Amino acid sequence: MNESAAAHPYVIQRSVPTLIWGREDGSFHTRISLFNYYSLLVEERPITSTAHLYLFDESGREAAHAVQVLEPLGQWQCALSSLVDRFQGSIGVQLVPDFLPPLKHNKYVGTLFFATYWDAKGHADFTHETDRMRYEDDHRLQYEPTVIPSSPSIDTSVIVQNSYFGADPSQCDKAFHLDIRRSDGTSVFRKSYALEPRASVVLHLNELVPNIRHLLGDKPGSVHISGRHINQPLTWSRHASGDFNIHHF
Amino acid sequence: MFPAGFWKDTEPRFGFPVFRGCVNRVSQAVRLDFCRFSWKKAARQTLAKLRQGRSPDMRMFLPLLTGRKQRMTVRGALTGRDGRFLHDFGEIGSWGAGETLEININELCEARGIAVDDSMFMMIMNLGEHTDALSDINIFSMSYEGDRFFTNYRTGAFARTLNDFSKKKHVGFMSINPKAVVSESHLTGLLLINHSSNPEYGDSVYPTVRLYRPDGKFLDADFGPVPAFGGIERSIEDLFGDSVRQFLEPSGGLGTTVTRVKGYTLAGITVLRSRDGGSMAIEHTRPTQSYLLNGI
Repeated sequence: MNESAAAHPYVIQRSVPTLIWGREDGSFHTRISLFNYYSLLVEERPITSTAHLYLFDESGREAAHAVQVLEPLGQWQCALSSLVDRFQGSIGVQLVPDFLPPLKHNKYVGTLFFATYWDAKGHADFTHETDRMRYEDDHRLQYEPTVIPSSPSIDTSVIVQNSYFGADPSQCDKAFHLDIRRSDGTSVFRKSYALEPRASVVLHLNELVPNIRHLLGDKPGSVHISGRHINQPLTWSRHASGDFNIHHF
Repeated sequence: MFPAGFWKDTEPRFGFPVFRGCVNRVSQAVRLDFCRFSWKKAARQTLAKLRQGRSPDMRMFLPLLTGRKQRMTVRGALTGRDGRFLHDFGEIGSWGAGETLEININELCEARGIAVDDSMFMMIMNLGEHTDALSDINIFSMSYEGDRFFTNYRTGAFARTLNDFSKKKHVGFMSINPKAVVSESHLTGLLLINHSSNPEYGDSVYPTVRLYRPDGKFLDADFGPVPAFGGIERSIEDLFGDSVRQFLEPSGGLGTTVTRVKGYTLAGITVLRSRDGGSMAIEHTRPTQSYLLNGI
């Protein structure tokens, strides 16, 4: 991180928001849980931190920005319903301490937090944060594969988020590629997509490949996603019982 | 404790919990670039090792000379939640680039007449000549499917030194879990795994847990012993008693737990269950200090 990098949108001092995905409507809810852990990690003095929570809808538009001051040992249990009635998209979370000890690296400092999801029938799940927001100076290729479970009771979707939050949208590589394979590695479906900066999309695999279970047989399969400005993708697995799981690749 | 020499230092491994009453699976989509070794990569790794003052492992050149495609061979073993060694499953299979593995732990156990109970499964990977290919190993998915629930968490294998004090000392372990729930419908549990890179490790550890309410008030509890290679789960009510529901009532049943132990490192897992058995969620904890120490 250099001086110009510190001027990137959403970067405050050394702190950069880390990302997760969320949804809020009448039947599905998301809560972000964040503890002022700087007050445990820094021994020099009591630390008060300022937490920022940003919501970006699926088109990439900033839908909300909430700020909360966390006293030493304080925490923020932020239900998205307190900010928006309906939402689906990317969430950025950033904890900015009022004092940071000297660091031995020149990178950004991310934020550790968790998202909890629940529905009206009592099914619940949670996951930790994923990658940080990315900018003009970051063009590494991200490639992430994960399993499509063999269980016939599970429908899998994948959530892909564009991780570019820089000031110059022309610097964003919007393309990402999806590849579904059988357990032996042979490909059954390939497609390239484009996602605007900060945008996100939920892709239901059984809509992309209507006979996916037949093609995979009773075996597991895999889904491979790659792109230059993608956040670590997530799977959204829905079980026949109604329970669900949302987790990074 | 495992038999001496149960794994080599170079074999990545990790342990995960097995739960009775559900189908336990571990799976991985092997990366398309798994062990895709090139002369350029070999030269880069050789230089990196020399810069660190270490000798490069010359075996990494063998696949380049022979043209052989390396596969990941997986072995498995079972311990009790108390860490007691129960069974060596031996070699389970091998998988190559682009292939998908899915191991049904229940079927493995049942084929050997072992009842599926709360226990711990140890996965060990052999990368043959590619001993430097740890970073090529994708993370694993551990999934748990019952009639009324499905959950899954993902984490990686490691070959670094852990709880092996002849080689490395640890400052301690601290796990911050800001998503503890104690409500009429749901209850959080903490599952701590006392792992080691030394198969003969035998220390029990005694963590403490502090439960913070958003207003800063807190309760303290001893977690109780976690035996070597064991995985012990305690709910927030087990730790703090039934009155913890009243304690967390002002914050809608939500709080943060901070688990600590000095001189050892642990793996932390959080389990969220609905009290009616209709939902289960599981996730590992994260080393909070990593962002400060290493950046992102």
